[in-house]
Amino acid sequence: MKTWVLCLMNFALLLSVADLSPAREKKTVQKSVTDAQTRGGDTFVDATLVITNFGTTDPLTARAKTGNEQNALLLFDLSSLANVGVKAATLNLNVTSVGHNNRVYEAHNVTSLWTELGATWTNRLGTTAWGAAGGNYSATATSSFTINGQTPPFTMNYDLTPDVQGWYTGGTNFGTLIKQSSTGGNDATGIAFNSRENATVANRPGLAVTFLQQVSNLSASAGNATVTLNWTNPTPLSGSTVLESYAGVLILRQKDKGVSAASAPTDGTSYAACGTIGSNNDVVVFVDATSATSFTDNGVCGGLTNDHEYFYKVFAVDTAHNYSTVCGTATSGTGACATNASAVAPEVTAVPSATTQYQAAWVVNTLAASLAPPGLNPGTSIVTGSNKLVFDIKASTGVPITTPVSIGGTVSARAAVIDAADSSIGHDVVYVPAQDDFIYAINSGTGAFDWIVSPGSVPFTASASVQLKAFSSVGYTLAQDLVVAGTHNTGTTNANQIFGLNANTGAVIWTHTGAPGPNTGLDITSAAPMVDYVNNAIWVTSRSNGGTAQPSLWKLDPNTGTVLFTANLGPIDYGPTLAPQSDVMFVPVNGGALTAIDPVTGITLGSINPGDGGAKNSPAIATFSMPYTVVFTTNTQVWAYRFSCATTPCLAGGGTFTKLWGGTAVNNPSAPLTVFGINKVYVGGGDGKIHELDMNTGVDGKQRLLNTSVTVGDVGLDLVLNNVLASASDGRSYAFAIPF
Amino acid sequence: MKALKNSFLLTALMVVLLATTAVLGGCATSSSSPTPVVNTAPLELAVRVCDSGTPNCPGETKFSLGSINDLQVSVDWKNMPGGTHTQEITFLLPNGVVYQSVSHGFGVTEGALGSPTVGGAMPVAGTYITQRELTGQWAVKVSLDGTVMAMQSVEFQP
Repeated sequence: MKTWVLCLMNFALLLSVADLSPAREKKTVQKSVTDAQTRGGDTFVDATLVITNFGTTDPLTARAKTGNEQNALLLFDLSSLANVGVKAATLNLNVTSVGHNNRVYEAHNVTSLWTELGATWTNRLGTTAWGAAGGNYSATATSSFTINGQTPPFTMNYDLTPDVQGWYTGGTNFGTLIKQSSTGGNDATGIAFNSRENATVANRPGLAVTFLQQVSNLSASAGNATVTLNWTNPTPLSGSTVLESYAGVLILRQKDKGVSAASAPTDGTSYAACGTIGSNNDVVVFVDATSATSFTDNGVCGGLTNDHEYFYKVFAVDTAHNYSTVCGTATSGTGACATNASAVAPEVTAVPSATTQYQAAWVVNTLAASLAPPGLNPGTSIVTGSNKLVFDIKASTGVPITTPVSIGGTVSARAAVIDAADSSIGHDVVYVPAQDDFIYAINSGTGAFDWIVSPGSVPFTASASVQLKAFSSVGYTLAQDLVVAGTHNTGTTNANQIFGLNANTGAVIWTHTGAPGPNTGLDITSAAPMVDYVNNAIWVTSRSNGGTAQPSLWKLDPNTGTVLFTANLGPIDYGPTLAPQSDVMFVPVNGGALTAIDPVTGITLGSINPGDGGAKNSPAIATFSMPYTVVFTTNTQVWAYRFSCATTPCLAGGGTFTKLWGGTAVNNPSAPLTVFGINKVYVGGGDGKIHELDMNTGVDGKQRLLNTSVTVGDVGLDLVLNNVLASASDGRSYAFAIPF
Repeated sequence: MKALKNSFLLTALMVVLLATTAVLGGCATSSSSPTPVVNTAPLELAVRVCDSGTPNCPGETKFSLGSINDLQVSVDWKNMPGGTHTQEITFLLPNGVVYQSVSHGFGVTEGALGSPTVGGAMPVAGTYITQRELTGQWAVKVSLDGTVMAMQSVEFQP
């Protein structure tokens, strides 16, 4: 008997494989009065009219494998299905005419960003060409359809399950391309099918998605050798067809590392507690079929060890034992799991302890780790860029507000998030420069692009900054906000560029291009420009061809881009920090001194280099006025100095740095962050932790572990919800309540 | 020479992967699958990784974060079937997590076998890779049309 029980506890049991009921909900995503499909689009491209766009055309056509080809492009806005595990997806097209019989038409996953009103045979975005004329797509068809005597109108359908599942597990959603197969005879007439412009909703392209929703509002509460989880079970979405009832949840747990994104319970299978799933040996700690909304882990399956981190991942499950993973259901015909099939399931961490228990406010898996820090609209949303995806998540819960926005390049810096009340564009907006040479303006309410611009055909690795008209002085004469971004073009050490863009339209207002010469060469830029509202200036840091022979600090006129001042300080990869009164600016030079600059005259007021490899990362300022308390980092330590000046205004060399504390040891520290009044400094470490230092003493008194053996990126503070946020090299973003 | 060696080592893998693709690729729905075009010459590739500033990139495996600009990956293909293709280069951190990827669509003349060189780069200088010293053994994964074709290790040194 004991042996039998042990077997139960150590192996997942297959209890109901004969139950082949479908997954729980099914919904057709289609443009309609209730679904504007703002991020969607469709068009076709024509090899005989290579620069003509057909984005407003109905019907769409696909024809010919050679000569006068036409390929159709379709993109669906899946934002109404933001928090689901996709089980199956079928594309349905209403065919209105056909050419020859026995011709095959294929559906391919598109691999480059395009827009409905920008795509032509030659180009995908305005004047940006496809890599191969006619569209960039995976050579292997996802599925195909043979014209075989059907009489129009009829529905042509494609199983797009693998593609759609990929879009939910780290892949980019650039839609689907329909083309005639290269096998079989040519069909110069081809097929026509209705576009989303058709007057009859039922005739428009539709993507029927079968899915399970995730639980929401997942939270953890750590205690002494216990962790309690709470969540909200899903209710059917509006417009969906309910196929099965939700039954409860299955919870996986892992100790001292994350639950693997590949650990996915198998659809059609029921599990017993204490079995494991996947090669990561993630433990099933809770199986429920009673619609429970909480679970207390107080020793199940081996108990909890205090002062260790536990990750929990919660899957919704229906009565047919389908789980909210990205895996095909047993009945779909495509039963395989996508790579990272469980990454979409909500996750949370907690550290039980007899004395210092804590938990993450939320955890989000972005499936890539560029360490781009989260941008935030405090109390509302967190925007974190990653590998060609921009995530917009609810600040209070970490639940995705919409499906991630697919863009053409990696985001490697903090997104600029602007609230509607402050923005000249009139809605919440996110500005994201990317490595594909484009700057994206994204409506953060819908995820739709406001504009996409490639101002210089060179990549961006740094954040953009936005000078807000609403906050600017009368000296700012532009009619709208200004987006400023600098380039990362390593092909030149002196001809990089800084762009000033109309924040409403993306139009280039001005460009500053470096040129050879001791005072004009502009090397790569790696940090966000700084907006100086008081002095009406934009400050940019750059490298300087390895030395001090060319500038690395630039002051520009926001109205014209005219260079007002430069300084040859040596290479700078970090952004400057302006004091609250705009009377001093602190600039960290790579491996050198933290330098205080007068932002009006540009003269150097003073500098400090405490050793340990010199200044690193942008500094933070903890006081509201002179004398300023400046916190900065070096290779392994955190420092606080008081900067004061004997005269007003401060004279060249007249500033003094006085050490307050330091160096406090932090493994591979990020940029420190503090603000006036909180009396704490937060620093991400190379030890997987966010460190909370006391502002008065520098004592590293408390920490929050994100994940062992990861590097924590630059932190952010949401002072509405009192959370500290950071991304980490495990591909996750985390939030913790402050103070620790 | 290193690139040539890589080419030989990878050829066998390519044959297996292409055969697998031919069997598994594509999901017929309401139609039968088209007959795949048989290419008698096996697809080959050689992967060369260099600092973007290196002329005539010979292929390197170790890079100093103090001097590297961008990590430039060049993939030399042989016997690439005609049609439209997408190459994706994925850069993985030492812990195996994706850092970023870069995709390029390209075309080869229908009915012919092509030998394109398709590249991609990962910015390094000034990024969090250098700022936070993300050193160690990274991996460069090359995929063609969704199928992994090659993996190569590169080391970032302090």
